[in-house]
Order: sequence, then C-alpha cells, then structure tokens
Amino acid sequence: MGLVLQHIEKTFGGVRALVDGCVEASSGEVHGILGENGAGKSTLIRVVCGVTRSDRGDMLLDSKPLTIRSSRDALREGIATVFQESSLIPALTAEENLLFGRLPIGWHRRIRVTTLHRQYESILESCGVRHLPATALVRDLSLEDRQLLEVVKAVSVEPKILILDEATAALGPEDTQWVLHQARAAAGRGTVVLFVSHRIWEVRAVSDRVTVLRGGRTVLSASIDEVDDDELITAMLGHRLEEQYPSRKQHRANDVVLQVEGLAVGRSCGPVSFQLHRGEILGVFALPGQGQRGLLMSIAGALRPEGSMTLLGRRYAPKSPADAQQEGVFLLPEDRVREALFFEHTCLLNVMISHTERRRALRFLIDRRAEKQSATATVDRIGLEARRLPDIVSTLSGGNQQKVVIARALLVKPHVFVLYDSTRGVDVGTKADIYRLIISLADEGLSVLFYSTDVTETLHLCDRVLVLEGGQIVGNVLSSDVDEETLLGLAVAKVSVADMEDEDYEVETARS
Amino acid sequence: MRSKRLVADGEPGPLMASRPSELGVPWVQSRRHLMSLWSGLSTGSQVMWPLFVTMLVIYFALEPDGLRITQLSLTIQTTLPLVLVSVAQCFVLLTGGIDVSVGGVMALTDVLMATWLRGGNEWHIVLIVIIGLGAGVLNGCLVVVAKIPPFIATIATWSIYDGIALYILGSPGGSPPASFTTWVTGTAGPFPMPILLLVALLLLAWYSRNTELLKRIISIGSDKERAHLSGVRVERTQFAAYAIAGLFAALAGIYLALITATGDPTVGDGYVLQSVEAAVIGGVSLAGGVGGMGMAVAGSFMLTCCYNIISELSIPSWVAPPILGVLLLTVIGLRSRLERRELEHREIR
Repeated sequence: MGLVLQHIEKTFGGVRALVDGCVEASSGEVHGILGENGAGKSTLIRVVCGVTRSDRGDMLLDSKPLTIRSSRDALREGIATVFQESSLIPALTAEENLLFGRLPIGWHRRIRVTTLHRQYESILESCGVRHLPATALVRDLSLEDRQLLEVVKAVSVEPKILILDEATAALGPEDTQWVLHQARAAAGRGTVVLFVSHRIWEVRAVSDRVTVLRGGRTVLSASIDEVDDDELITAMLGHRLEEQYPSRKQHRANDVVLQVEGLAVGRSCGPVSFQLHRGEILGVFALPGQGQRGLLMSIAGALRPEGSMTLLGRRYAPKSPADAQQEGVFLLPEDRVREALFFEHTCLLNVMISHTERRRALRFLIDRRAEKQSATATVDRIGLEARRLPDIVSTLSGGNQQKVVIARALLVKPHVFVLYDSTRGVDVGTKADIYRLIISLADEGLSVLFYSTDVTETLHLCDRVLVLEGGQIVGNVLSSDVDEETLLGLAVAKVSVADMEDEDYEVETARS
Repeated sequence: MRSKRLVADGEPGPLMASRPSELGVPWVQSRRHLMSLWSGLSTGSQVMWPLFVTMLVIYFALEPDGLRITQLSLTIQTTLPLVLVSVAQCFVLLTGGIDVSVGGVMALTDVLMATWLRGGNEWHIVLIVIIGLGAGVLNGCLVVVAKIPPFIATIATWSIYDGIALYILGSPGGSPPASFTTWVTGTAGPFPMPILLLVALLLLAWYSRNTELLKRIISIGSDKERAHLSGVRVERTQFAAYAIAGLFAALAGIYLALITATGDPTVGDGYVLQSVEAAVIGGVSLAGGVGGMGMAVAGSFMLTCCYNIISELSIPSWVAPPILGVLLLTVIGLRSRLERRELEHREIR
C-alpha cells in the first residue's frame, strides 16, 4: 500500500531532468526527498501532481496504476501539493482560496458566504492556526502567512498523497515546527507524505524514510535511522563535502563603512543604530516579521526611512535601489523569482542588467564583446558555467538562478552587499558555494549585511550578529561568543513565554 | 502582522483567541463596522464611490429636474446601452483580456433588430441573442484555441462583424417592431421600464458577485498558472467570459435599436473604447483579476453624469472629451497612488 514511482523519465528540450526516478512510499509514512538543485526533485514532484507528464515510467497508488494528465486529475485523485511557488490566487480572499474548488454553493449557484466563513474558521482551528484574516486578499498577506495558508489548504482536503515541496523555506523556526507537525499528523491519518526540503535536519526530524536523488537518478533509499547526515550529504553530492561552513579568519574591527543612526521605518522597525565595518559580515537574525525587512530594504534604498545613515563618511539617503547601487550598496532580494530575475530572458541579460559595458567610441551602444567577457569572468568566479550564459534563466535550477543574481551584484562592485535570505531554497552544494563567495568577498574588504532565517548559518558565517525583535535591536553579539540557543533565546525573548515551549526548539538546536 | 499559534504534542492548538471585545456604545460599534466596510473595499472602489457621489450631487444640484422620475428614467434609458456593453467588456477585462469586437456585435445585432423582425417574425429576437452569443464564442475560440492575443483577435472579428452589419443594412434605416419599442420605453405599472431594467441588472450584479464562475474568472485574470494549479479549467473559463461578453454586447445592440427605433450599422464604433473607459473608471483593472459587474455599471453612469454636467453648464461640446480624459487620468492616478501607498504599507511589516 502506498505510492510507488518506477523509473520515471523526463526530458525537457534536450535536458534530461529525470533519468530514473524511483520512490516507494507507503501509506502513513513521511517520505523525505533530498537532492541538490537540478537533481530532479522538483521534476519528480511536478510529475506526481500533474503539472508535467513523464516521458516514461509508471506510477502506482495502492498497487493500482495511476494516470495523471493534469493538475485537475491530481486533485481528483487526492493528491494535494504545497508548491514552492505558491498556488494561491492573489486576487481572491484567504477563505476563498482555502476552499477554492469546493466552495459551498447554495441557492442558484451562489456561494454561501456564512458557511464559507464557518468552514474556514473550523479548518483553521483544526489545524491549530490562529488569526489568518479570512477576508483579506491573499496578495495582502505576508509571505509567511501565504505559506501557512497554502499548507492548511493542502492538509484540509485530507489527501491520499500530500506533497510538501520546500514548504518550510519561507518560514521561521516556530512556523517550520508547525509544518513538520502537520506532516506527521497527516501521516498519522494514513496519508503518504512526500517531504521535499533542502534542510537535512528537517527531513531527519520528520521523515520515516528518505530518498536521495542525484542527476535525475535515485541514488539512495533508506530508513532515516539507517543513515547519518554525512552519508546523506555524500549521496546528494556524489562526493564528500569537506567543509560546509568554510573557515574564516577572525575579523578585526576597523574603519566604519556604514553608520546607521536612529533609523526607523513606520511603526514596524526602529529606531535602530549600528555600525558596519569594512570587510565585516554582519548578520541580522530575527523571527519573521520583526522589522528586518524594513531595515534591510531601507538600507538598500527601497524604502525611505527616518533617521540618518552615513556611508564611507558621506551622508547616505538613497531615494531608490538604483540610487543605492550608485552609492555602492547592493541588495539581493528575498524573492529571486519575483524581485530579482527577468525570468524569460537569458542569463547574460540578467547578469548585465545593472552594469553595462559601453563602447568606447559610441557611448550609447553596448559593447557586446566586453559584456560577454566581463560576464564570463564573473560567473566563472562564482562557479556558474559560462556556457550557460545564453540560456533562459527559467531553465536554470534555483541555486544557479541565485548565482546569476550574485554575478550581477559583483559587476557593480559595491561597498556594501545586502543579502536578504539569499540561501532560501538553495541546496547544500550551492549554499557552500555562496558561503565561500561571501567570505572571499569580505576578505577583499567588502562589507556584508546578511539576513537569514537559519540560525546555524547566521552563526557560522557572520562575524557579528544583530538580533532584532519587535523592530528593536535586542542583541549585538560577536558570533564567537554565543551559541545557537542563546541567539534564538535573544530573538524570542519578548515573545510571550507562554507561547513558547522549550521542546519547540529541540530539533532546531540539536542539529549542530 | 504575524500569525500566532501553539503547537502542543499531538493536540491541535487551543481555540481561537476571542476577538477584541466589541463592547461600547452602539455608535462606536457601527462606526467600527463602517470603517471595516470601507477598508474592505478595493482601492478601485475607494476612489470610485466618493467621485461618483460627488458627481451625482453636482449634477442634481445643477439640474434638480433630473431627480424627477421621467427625467431619471430617460437618463437611465440613454445610459443603458453603455452599461450593457461595459458589463460585457468587464467580464473579458477580468480575465486579463480585452474585447474590442463588442462594437461589431452591437452593430450586427442592432441592424438585425431593425430589419429582421417584421411580419410575425418577432421570435427572431431569440436568434439575435444567440448570434451575439455565437460571436462571443467565436472570439473565445480564437483566443483560447488558436491562442491569438485577445486584442488582435477581437480587432479582426470587430471588422468582420461590422462588415456583416454593413452588408445587411448599408445605411441607417429600418425599424424594429413598434410593440417592442413601446414596451421597452414604456412603464410597467407605476415603474418606468428603464428603471426596472437597471434594477434587474443591479440584482444580477449582486448575484454574480459571489458565484463560483466569477471567482474562477477573477482567478485566471489574477494568475493563470496558479489558477490552473488550483484546479480551475482555465480555457473553459476564458471561453465562458468571451461568450458572456458576446451575450451582453448583443443585449446592448438590441436595446439600442429599440430605444432609437431604427438600425445603424456604424452604431457600435463609439462604444468600443467607451466600454473600456467606463469599466476602468468604475474600478475594473485592465490587468485582470480586479472588478465586477457593479463597477462597470457605476462607471457607465459616471461617464453619463460627466456628459450631463457639461451640457448643464452649457459650455461648448468640444470640451466634453478632454474633460473625460482628465477624469480618467484622475481616477487612475488616484487609484495607483492609493495602491502604492498600500503596497508600501505592506512592505514594511
């Protein structure tokens, strides 16, 4: 009993995304799926939920063949998916989205509003979620709330197969914990849960069995207790990853690059003051929605805050991100799909969009050759193959897409590099690439402001960490002085103690 | 805003937090209720309603006779064709498309009304409605099956429908049966027909607001890919929107023929852009996903109101189009300003 995928094959225009995808997951188990970016995880998931059709291979559900031609078929068969890129409709309300496709229809095909409302509340209650505004449009919800709603939606149909594709990527520790809890609860009801994540500890915390994909092939399938983290990483990479967090020599505080004084954004953030030194990696750690977005966005020029900033001794008050770039502050946005990349264009265009190589004689023309040269040099440096430059960005894996954005930033040669949750949804190998790159940049004297939802990462990568809570800096600590527990403790300090139970963070801290 | 929840082992979280207590004097309660109603409106409506009410007040202040029932029903009667055609337009705009062929459908049905219904063939009116629906279906085929961009597809069909209309009736003339025209312009009991028709239309707007079909149409206008993932039959829904547009455009043509008591093959041309203008002024988004029938109705009356105010002020008629242009710019400008403010508000969280 359960879901069996046998030798699934899928080729996209010459690229073999899946060569031999095999998964055997029985009912009532959470089945972790691990793999680097481009390993074929997403393709496998998309085949199961009907977004794409496989070229070859069989799917069996409860030993009966399963044919899925479209996402409608998948829904009808009881396959619910939480997509990495949300499937909620921005123009509809939360409650309409939650019950879309099974809206309570009353007299003459009209939706019964009160019934809808009641059903929404009761579903939310049964999932243990409080206060997601029912009648707010989904586009007005925050990223985390949207992600939560998406999970609630998938769970609430009581599916036969529940697929969580990077469902925790946008979430903080508390919400992540809740998602893991939901996955277990669904498995307890006899659902097959496919849990795709980049975070090994999450997979370990929630799964019974795990399947590792590499290069479109299933390379490992085992009970989670039989394998340790090193084995999993080795299986994912095909070789051992020597040092996930590259070592870094102690940073010595020297001249101040960016001085922030009394910066405040509306009611959500501030006033905060801090200094960023040359060659320093300054981490920002906070639970979601503690004003970090306002803070980083204003430094990057996307918002206009109160207070003052000084960059390299000069007053710094950017009116726009373009302005900030001119001054030498470059932002890597949170949502690379929506905020950073031109998806249907080539990598080359995406890399060169912020920095143009002009011809010497005719300044208004772009020097194609110089452009290609500098693009090649830059992507070489960050470990993206130069032959991929003419490719369309949407055909790249998530990690490579992130590299494209970083390449763009490098061309501008900024003084301050603002990374807003840039390692989200990126696999272990690419993450290590990004860490190495950040560190080498910092060693060259670039200052980095690094926000991540991942404590371990923040702690290992950064020299110093600012902890934000309720828009205030509640901690300014050297990362060598603290451990993960302390950092989390600082971040949750003011969240009512009754809301927090210590075991919520067991997994979070146990994985170091 | 942050969602709070508790995760206890195996147990669902405790019950929802009780709402903030709503004790207090009834006045405060109702004010809060009004405020929440207001903030629940889309930015489009937040701009549209105050402007609409202001315009009505100005108009009725200038022309108190406008409030008399005969005058009122006349105003409604002259606006109804625009209302119907902008409702037609609205359905397509909601999907993120545009239908310029509504002018062609209007012309075609208008001349058919004037030429076809004579001598006991009154039942042909049913055929005319079906022809309008068929025209919409053809548009739907071109957009959905042949994947031609809506603007191009409907420009093409617009000229096709216009051509057929010209073939049927080369120059203005003909007349629909008098029984029909008197019925449509007359009264039913104490109520003038135009007012009843408008009320019927508003009821339909209210009714449609909460139907699954409309939610589907909005969902594909908002994001086709996500709608598809959520199990919406995107193509079928798009198809339905174009068919509905054809139907309402046909009703507009039929009604126009009845109130003018004649046929004119060029009658639709003026309505094409006006239908878009009315819908957009009313709050429907050109990008799709935002709006409803009611907005198209309100927008049409705003346009009429504007024309009437200008004629009341007895300023030269050439002033009307530029003023309408400014009105459109004001509405869209205000709306995008509000939207931007809301967006910034959202960014900072």
